[in-house]
Amino acid sequence: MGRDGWIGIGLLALSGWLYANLDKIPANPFVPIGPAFYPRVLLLLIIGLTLLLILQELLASRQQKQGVRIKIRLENYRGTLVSFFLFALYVFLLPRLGYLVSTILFVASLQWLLGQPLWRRLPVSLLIGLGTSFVTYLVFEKYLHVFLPRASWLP
Amino acid sequence: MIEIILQSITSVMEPKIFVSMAAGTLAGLIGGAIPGVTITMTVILVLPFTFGMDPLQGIATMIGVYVGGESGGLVSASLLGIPGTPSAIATTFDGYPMAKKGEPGRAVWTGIWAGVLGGLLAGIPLVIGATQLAKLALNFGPWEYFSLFVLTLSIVGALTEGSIIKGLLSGALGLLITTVGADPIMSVPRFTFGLEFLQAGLAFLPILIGLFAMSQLMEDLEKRGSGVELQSPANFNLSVSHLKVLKDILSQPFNLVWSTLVGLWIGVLPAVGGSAANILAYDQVKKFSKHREKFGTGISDGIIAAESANNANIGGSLITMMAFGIPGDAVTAVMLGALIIHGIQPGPLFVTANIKVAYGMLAAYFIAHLVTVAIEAGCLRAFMKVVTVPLNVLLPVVLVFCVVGSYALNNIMANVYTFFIFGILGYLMVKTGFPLAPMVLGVILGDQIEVNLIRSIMTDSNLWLFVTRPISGILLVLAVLSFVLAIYQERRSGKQQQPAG
Repeated sequence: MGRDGWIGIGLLALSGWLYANLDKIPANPFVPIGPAFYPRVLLLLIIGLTLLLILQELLASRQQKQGVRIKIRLENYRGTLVSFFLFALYVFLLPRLGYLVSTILFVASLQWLLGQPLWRRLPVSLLIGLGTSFVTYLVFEKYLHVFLPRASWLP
Repeated sequence: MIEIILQSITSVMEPKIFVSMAAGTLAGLIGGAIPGVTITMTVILVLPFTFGMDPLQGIATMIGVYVGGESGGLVSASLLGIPGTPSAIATTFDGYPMAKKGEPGRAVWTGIWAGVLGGLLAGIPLVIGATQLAKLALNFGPWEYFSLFVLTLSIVGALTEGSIIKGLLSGALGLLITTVGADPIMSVPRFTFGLEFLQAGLAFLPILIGLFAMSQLMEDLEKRGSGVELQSPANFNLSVSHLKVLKDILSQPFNLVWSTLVGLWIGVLPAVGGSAANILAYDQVKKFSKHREKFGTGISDGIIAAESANNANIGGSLITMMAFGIPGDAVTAVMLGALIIHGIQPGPLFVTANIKVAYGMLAAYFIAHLVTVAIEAGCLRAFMKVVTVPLNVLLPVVLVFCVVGSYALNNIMANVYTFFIFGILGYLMVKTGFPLAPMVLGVILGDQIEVNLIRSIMTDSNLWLFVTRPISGILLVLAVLSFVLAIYQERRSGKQQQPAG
C-alpha cells in the first residue's frame, strides 16, 4: 500500500477513536438534537471519504504494481528540519525567557544556521536578532499596546 | 448610494486612515514583489498591527495590502521572470520576454495600468453586487444558509487541484476542527479531553496562519535547497511614456473588459484565487486573439489580460465576503478573521449593520488602486533591491511576526501552540497532496454550518425542506453539479494522461 493508504488508515483510527468519544458528550434534554449530532455526521462523512481514499489507493497500486520510487534528497530538507526544531525550541522558551530574549536567540540562530554558518557571520546574525526583537517589541508593546509574552524563568 | 460612497471616500482620506492604508499598500507592494512571500503572508504579517486600530482603519490597511500585493507581484514577474505571487504567473509569460527585449519599463507599467483599470472597472459590480446580494441574502433562512455553505465547500473541495477525495476530506476535517470546544447551541464541551486550552475551542486565525504561512515558508526553503535562487536585478531602465502605455491598453477594450469579467467571476467563486484568474484570462484572450502565435513573445495583450484579471479578482472576492461572509480567497479569509476580531460579524447583515465600515472598504478599494500607482511611480527601483533579501534573513523574521500575530489575539500561549501544530499539519498536508483551502474554509464555516443545520431541524424536523425550499434546493443541486463536473474533469484528465504516460 502507498502513502495515501497509510494516511487513510491513520485517519480511520483517529476518526474511530473520536467516534467512540462521542458517547462521553452529555446529551441535553431540552434540545432534540444533541451536541454530538453534528460531529457524528462529520465523522461518518470522514470515515466514508477515508474508505474511498484507501480504495482508490488499492486500485491504483493494483494497476501500477511497480511504483515509481521518488528519490528524496535529504539536503533539501535540512533547512526545514532545522527551522522546525528551532521553532519548537522558541515556542518552548517564549513563556520562560520572555519575548525579547527568546526572539533574539531564535532569529539569530535560525538566520545563522540557514545561511552559511561561518563564525564571522555570527555578529551580523546577532544584530539582526537584536534588531528584530527590539523593533517589534517597541512597536507592539509601546506603540500598539499589544502585550508580548513575559519571562517566568527570569526575574 | 453615491452620497454614502463619497462620504466614505472622505472618511478614508482622513490622515489617520489614509496613512495606514498607504503603509499597507507599500507593505503589499513589497511583500508581493518578493517571490515566495505572497499576499496572504503579507496580510498575515500586517494583521497584528491592525489589532490596535479602529475597524475601518484596520480593514482599509488590509485592502491596501491586497491591492498593493497584486501589483507588487507583477514587478518581479516582469523584471526577474519570477512571479512574486502565484497570481502573477501569467504575467511572466509576456512581461518577462518584453523586459528582455529591452522594454522593462513598458512591461511593468502596462501591467500596473492594466491592473488599475481592471480593478477600477471591477469596482462597479463590487459596489452594486455586494449591496444587492446582501439584500438577497437577508431573505435566507437557516436552510438556505446551510445549503449555501455546503455549496461553497463542495466547490472548493471539488475544484482544488489534485484528488477530489482529498479536497473533500480536507474540508470535512476543517469542519471537524470547529467542533473542538463548547458547542455553539448549549455550550456543552466536546473533544476537550480535559485539556484547559481546548475548552474555548481553537482560534481560527492561528490555524489559518499556521496552515498557510508555515507550509509556504518551508516549501520556499526546500526550493532553495534544490538550487532555485533569485537572480540579481540588472540595471533596468524603467522610464516609459505613460500616455503611450494607456493608449495601448485602451486600444484593446475587449481584452480589458473580458479579462476583468473573468477575474471578477473567479473572485466571486470561493477560494479559487488570483492564480486561476490570471491564467484563465490569459488563456481566454489568447484563444480569442487574431495573433495567438505572438503570445509568449512579449506582447502587451498577455500582460493586460493577466493583470486586469488579477485586480478584478480582488473585487470579486470582496463581493462574496461582504454579501455572504464567505471568503473569496485566502486573503479575504484573513480579512474575515480581522473583522471578527474587531467585533464585526461578516455576513448578509454586514453591509446594513456596518455601513461605515462596508462602504469604507469599497472606498479604500478604489483609493488603494490610485495609491499603488503613486507609490510605484516613486519607489519602483527601490522594490527591486528589497526583492533580493535572502530567505535566511526573511524566514525567522516572518515566523516571529506570525507568533506575535497569534499571541496578540488573546494574549495567550495556547494560540502560539495552535499556530505551531497547524503549521506542521499544513506542511504535511502540502507534502502529501492534501489541499489547504478546503480545510481553511471548513474552519471558517464550521460553526455557521452547524448553527444553521441545528436551527433548521429545530424549526422543522422535515429534512426534505432543504430540497423543497426553492433557493436551498437550487443551491444543493449546484453543489451536486460541482461534484459531477469535478469527477468528469478528473476522469477526462486521467484519460488524457494515460496515452501520454
